[in-house]
Amino acid sequence: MLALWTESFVLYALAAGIALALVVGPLGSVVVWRRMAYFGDTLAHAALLGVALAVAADKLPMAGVGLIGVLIAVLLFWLEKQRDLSTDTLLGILSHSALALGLIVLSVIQAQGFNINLMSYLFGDLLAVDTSDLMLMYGSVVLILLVFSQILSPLISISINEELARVDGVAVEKIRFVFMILLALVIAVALKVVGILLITALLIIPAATARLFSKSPRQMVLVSVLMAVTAVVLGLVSSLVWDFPTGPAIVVSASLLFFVSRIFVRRGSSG
Amino acid sequence: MKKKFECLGHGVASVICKRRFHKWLRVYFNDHLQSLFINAILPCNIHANLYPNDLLKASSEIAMSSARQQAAESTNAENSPLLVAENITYVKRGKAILSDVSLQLCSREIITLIGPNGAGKTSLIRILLGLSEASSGRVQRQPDLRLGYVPQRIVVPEVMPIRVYDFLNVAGLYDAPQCLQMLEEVNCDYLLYSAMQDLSGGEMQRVLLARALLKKPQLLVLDEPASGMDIIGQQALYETIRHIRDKHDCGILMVSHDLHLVMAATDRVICLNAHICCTGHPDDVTEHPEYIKLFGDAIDGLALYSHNHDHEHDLSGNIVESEHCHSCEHHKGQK
Repeated sequence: MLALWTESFVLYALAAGIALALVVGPLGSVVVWRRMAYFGDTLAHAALLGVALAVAADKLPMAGVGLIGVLIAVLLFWLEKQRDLSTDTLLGILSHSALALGLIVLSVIQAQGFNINLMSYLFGDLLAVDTSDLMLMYGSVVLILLVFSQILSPLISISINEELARVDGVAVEKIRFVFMILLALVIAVALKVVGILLITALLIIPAATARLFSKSPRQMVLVSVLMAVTAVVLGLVSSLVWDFPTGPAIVVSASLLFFVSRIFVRRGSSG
Repeated sequence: MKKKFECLGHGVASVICKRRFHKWLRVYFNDHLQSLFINAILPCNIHANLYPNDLLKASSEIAMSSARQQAAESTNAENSPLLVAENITYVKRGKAILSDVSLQLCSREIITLIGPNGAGKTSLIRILLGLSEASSGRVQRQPDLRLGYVPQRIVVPEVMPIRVYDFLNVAGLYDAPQCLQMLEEVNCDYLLYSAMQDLSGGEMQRVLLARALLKKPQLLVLDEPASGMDIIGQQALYETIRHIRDKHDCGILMVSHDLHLVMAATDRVICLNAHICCTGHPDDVTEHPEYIKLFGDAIDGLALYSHNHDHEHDLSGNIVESEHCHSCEHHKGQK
């Protein structure tokens, strides 16, 4: 057991998991405040298209996912401006079109002889993280956190009330757009760790748990990082001890943390 | 008689000394002559009832008011209006909500926008605030105008942990004492660390007001600030608003439904029904035919239930002894 912990692939996995935890906490809090869970799902579904295209072009899957995510964000932003359909309808259109398109591209490139291990993209492959993955992940994490820290105040402001924020001179559209782009990048970072299907869980669950312990928005951001890191460590340990798949183990740990907190934190005691 | 005049002269002169305004010298002469004139023409019996003190007070009041007028005129000439709207027209889905509305908002002026439901009040202030775009016409704000906006109410998402302090200090520009001081000003200092979601309607209004005031606004816009409040709360709120104008030297534009209370606290009323029906001092507007056409029935048909309480509540709901009426009829049974 001890020997296992010093294995480099375990350390790499831990480092990658913590990288993800550092960004899902803060961005997840805002996702929860602004009810953007469906947007996260849409990005995740579109990620499959990104992976398929990246493999076909012989590029890094992470880059493909990031690019498609940004494209979806731009498309949604433009569609929202037309104002005749509500955001969740638009997301329903984008989400499933992207998924269907991804499946078609996938089958086409598989027919051409490309070999894709679909399961590793759907559920993550944390134990296979290598140095170049780590560098790319930490690069993205630093970038995301830098931008996020710059826009946190206006983000809180528009999460409370967009009109008040606008009168106060916040460039609401710009902030919203930048946040969508950041979220697209987070999905790319999460690809290797928990996979496409479970990424939204990691955005929502640690933030929801943090809500129970926090009195202010900034506090919630910090506590959710703590929750996400704890979930990653617990998930990794359980996956090593009981040989669970790592991604799902992390998500289940996060859920356990939530339910235990829910039971022990009295309703409204920190509300 | 001669003695009276000496007193008069002396009194006015002391006012001048206190104020040390050059302009007042001119006022003094005008006024002195004026009071001489009044003295000369007033019938003796009335004259005899006027004590020198009253007369002094009266004349100095005349002097002060005319000087104030002059001062007001001169500042109006120097200061351009905070915001000018010209020929605003707003069409939504083919329906004209506003047509050809022009108005000016000046510093230190309390303007109330009244009008029936669907008159376009909210559309107009949204356009003035820059939240909506007018279909035609233009809104010109003073460069770098500091705007304070108090919406009717906001619903803070339940999932966001946020205390009043965090709400006031979203951008991190103020410290706790500053926030507390501003809450004190709107009589809500006990709320500093309450969760936003726990506030009552009236408390929310006051917190929103405190938030707007922290910006030291030059123009404060309030959308139905007293909606959903009982009449005591409304009175207290309008009192606060008047106090704010005096203390912060800002222009105030508010939308309101409650005609009676609002009128008392307003310098100028704008009566809106897609276009501006009439505008002016509250007393003039209430006699304007357009106003009576819009609200006449409501005014006539409304019998106000007036009654007294034998106690009052402070803003946190505690019972405080009232200075009037210690044995009201409708409370007797409960005692």
